[in-house]
Amino acid sequence: MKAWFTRHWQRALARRHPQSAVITLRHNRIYVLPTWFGIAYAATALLVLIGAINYQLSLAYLFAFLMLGLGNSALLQAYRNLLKLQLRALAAEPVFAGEVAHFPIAVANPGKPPRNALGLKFNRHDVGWIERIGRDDEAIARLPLLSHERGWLTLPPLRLETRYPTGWCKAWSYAQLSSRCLIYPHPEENPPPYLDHGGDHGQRRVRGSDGFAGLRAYQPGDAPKQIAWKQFARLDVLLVRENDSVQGAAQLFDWHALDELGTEARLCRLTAWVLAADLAGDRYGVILPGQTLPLGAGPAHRHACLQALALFGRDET
Amino acid sequence: MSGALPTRALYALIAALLMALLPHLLMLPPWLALLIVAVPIWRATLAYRGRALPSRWLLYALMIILLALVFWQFRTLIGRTGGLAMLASLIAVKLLETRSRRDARVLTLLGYFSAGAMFLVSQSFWMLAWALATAIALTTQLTAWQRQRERLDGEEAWRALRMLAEAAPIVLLLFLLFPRLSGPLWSMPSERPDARSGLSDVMSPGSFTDLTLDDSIAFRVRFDGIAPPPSALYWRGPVFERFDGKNWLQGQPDTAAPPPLETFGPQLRYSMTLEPHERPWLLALDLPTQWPERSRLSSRLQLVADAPLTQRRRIDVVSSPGWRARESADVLARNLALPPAGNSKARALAASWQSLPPQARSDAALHWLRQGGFHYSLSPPLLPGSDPVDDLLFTTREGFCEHYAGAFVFLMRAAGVPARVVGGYLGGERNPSGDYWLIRQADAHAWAEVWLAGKGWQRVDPTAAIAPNRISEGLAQSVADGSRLPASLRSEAPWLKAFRLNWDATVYQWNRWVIGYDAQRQLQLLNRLGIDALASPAFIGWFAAAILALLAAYGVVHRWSNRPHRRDPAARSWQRFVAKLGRASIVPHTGEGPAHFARRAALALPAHGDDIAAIAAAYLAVRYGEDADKLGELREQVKRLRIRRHHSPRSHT
Repeated sequence: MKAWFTRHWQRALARRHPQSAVITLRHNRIYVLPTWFGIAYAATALLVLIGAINYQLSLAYLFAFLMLGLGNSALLQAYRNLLKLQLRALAAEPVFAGEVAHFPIAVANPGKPPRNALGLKFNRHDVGWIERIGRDDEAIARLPLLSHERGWLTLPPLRLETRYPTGWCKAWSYAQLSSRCLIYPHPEENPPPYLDHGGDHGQRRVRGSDGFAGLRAYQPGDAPKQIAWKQFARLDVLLVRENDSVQGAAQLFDWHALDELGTEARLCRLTAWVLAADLAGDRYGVILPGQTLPLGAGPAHRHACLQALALFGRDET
Repeated sequence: MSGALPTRALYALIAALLMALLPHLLMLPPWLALLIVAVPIWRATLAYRGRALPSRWLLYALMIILLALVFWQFRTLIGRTGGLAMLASLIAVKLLETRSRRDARVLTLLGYFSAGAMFLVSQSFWMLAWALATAIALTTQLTAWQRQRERLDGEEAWRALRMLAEAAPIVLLLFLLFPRLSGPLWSMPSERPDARSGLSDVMSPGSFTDLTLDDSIAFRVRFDGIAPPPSALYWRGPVFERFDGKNWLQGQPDTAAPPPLETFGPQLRYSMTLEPHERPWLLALDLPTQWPERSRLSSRLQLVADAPLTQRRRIDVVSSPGWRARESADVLARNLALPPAGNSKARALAASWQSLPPQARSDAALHWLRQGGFHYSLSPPLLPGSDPVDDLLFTTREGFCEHYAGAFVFLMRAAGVPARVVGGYLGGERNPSGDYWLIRQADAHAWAEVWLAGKGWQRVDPTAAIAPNRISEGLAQSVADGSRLPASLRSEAPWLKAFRLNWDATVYQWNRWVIGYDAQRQLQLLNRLGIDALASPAFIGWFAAAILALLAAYGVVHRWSNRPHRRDPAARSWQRFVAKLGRASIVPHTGEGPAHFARRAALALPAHGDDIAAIAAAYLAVRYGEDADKLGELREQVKRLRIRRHHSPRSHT
């Protein structure tokens, strides 16, 4: 029964709050209910009213009605605190499976009085808080969501809630923003060195990465690991050790060469290798069934490879 | 929304609670008030220093001590005095164990309740203003608890003020139309009767002299038509029938029906607004012929309410100055009774008039008082002896109305004429600003009534024989030592008097329309709208219409405050540009950005290609490059753009 109700409720909500990239909170999307504190406040007002009736105090009547009026006004204020807000999902940075993905949500206040104390929730769990959005201003909340598996992680339905200003009423709205975050496969921990594995696709055998080839001047972006600290201590000049492998190692990581592992394990290992090769500055490529990413380097290539691994076997694009 | 308490929000809470408690604290003895105030101040200090809160046992001990002190002071923990003192102690101690936002919420609710209870202390205009300020402070500090960064600034106070303004229509509507009950829901435990001053139900020497120093208002009266002269305004209060040798008492419980009455002459119609005096008497003029509900005419011809007046009450009364009663022998015998012994000189004096007819005995007594060298004084010597009447008449010869009224009635009874003492008020001050009469405690007076066969009860005022000015001119002109009188009764500068009377007129209207708005007044108002009773179809119709009007007003205000925001100038120029292209049937596709749209438009209108590209570039620079300097350029270029329809690409090829 409860499941049936939940299903229908979810469906009704989805109909009422269609998915979209930008959502403006109009009046038909905002719900307001009193909180327990609000109910206790109304009871207090009633108590004052009973006292007024009993002691026949005209001004106490007035005060009891004032309390009720203030409650009504708080309801309107809470509602207005959400009205006309614009929600927009910004691009989420990819993360590895098991890590926390952050969905940046921009909440814009188009030329209205400042908004205060907005809470963002996934499934009744607090995930974000916006203290204040000024007039014609925008605030960005980064909503954390734990990723479990590779592929696309879609932004769950979002609940934007406020109890401002008094806490007597709770106004909220649902937002189904279309946004997703790419989750790379979880990289295998302590993978075997990639140079000896991955088939015979190496363009050129190179010496081990610890082969010392010489020193060159430091350039911004060089890994601290590569800095020759001993020489720095002696000469007071930042120098970088150059390894053979840095210069020309190139490796194609082949899915097919890892027969002994299952699909996910293979993807984990390939991911680890892509990361290792990227870190070492090698050129690398990935061969997957039905898809080959040729040799390359740099952040874009790394992303392309990791995306291919993340989406392998998933029919989503 | 839980966690550590924001310090500044806590200070705001403490300040708002102190505001809510102030009127109650002022009613307490100063030592108790200071003790209660010390607790919140202690709490604020702990928060300021970042110290830990006291242990639970210390709190319990403090609570028990405070409650014990309150009980010791008031002998009760409920009702107006004890209950409010207990509420104040409770709030103070609760503050000391406030650790969470939840505690702060509970305290805020107690604060609102305490603010609502302020009107038990007073219903003055100032109290309402203070209660409103307290409500704003309580609401303002609540907003601080909704934030995580304990912000609290002027904006929040403005918000609370705005909420108050928004609430006003509902408040007004409910105040006017919410059904008022005419009686309490349950009977209150009896309050201390000496809480307020006024006439007492025992007349002892000096009991009225004390009142002359009290210039607080006893009641206000508005006459329909012409008012009688002040010297005829004898406001009838408690009637004292029993003399115990020293004090005059009301005598046996007055539950019997009034004697058969006969009234003649013109009738006086007036409405009175009585200040609460904790006694049942209603102080009508002799003799009431029509009186309000929940009151009756007693066997002593006194108008009494069914319950003591604990609130200000407004009543409409009709009196007949001409009247005659037929008393039974029982009553007359009661009004002849004297203690068996004492005051032998006075008895001897009265015996010398025994041979005269009753009327002449009364006149003889008055004559004797007039000729006896008596003085009217606010500070007469005490009469501690066992024969106070003798001491007054033959030794001190100095007294106030209660002395002379008591002595006169004693003489009359000793001379065989039934007589009794009547307490009440005499005269009053007319306030021309509001066309009503002000009667103060200082106008308290006592006079006598004697029974003359064939004529019935006759009012005799022995004070008039000694100090005729007291009757005709009022108290201030009749005593020599005027400096002992309260300021409002002394002769004073005319402008000061005018100001005082104007102010009182304002207070009177406030009392009449706001504080005195009761079931009766509500019905009067509804009658003017053509509604006969509450819960009638007409009332429901009006009520529904008022609610609808209110909702519509909210809608309009809401619409207005949410009116579309003026688009920025760049967007307006762009919109104009799009409209111009629209005339050439080039419209942006849904989801098409400005750059893409401009490219498409330039392709479609090669003649304007450069202009279109320039406009798009300027727009993008202003809108997204934050390059405000280009705004003028953009506006200019859009203005200059003239699309020539016949130069559309099709006509060229």
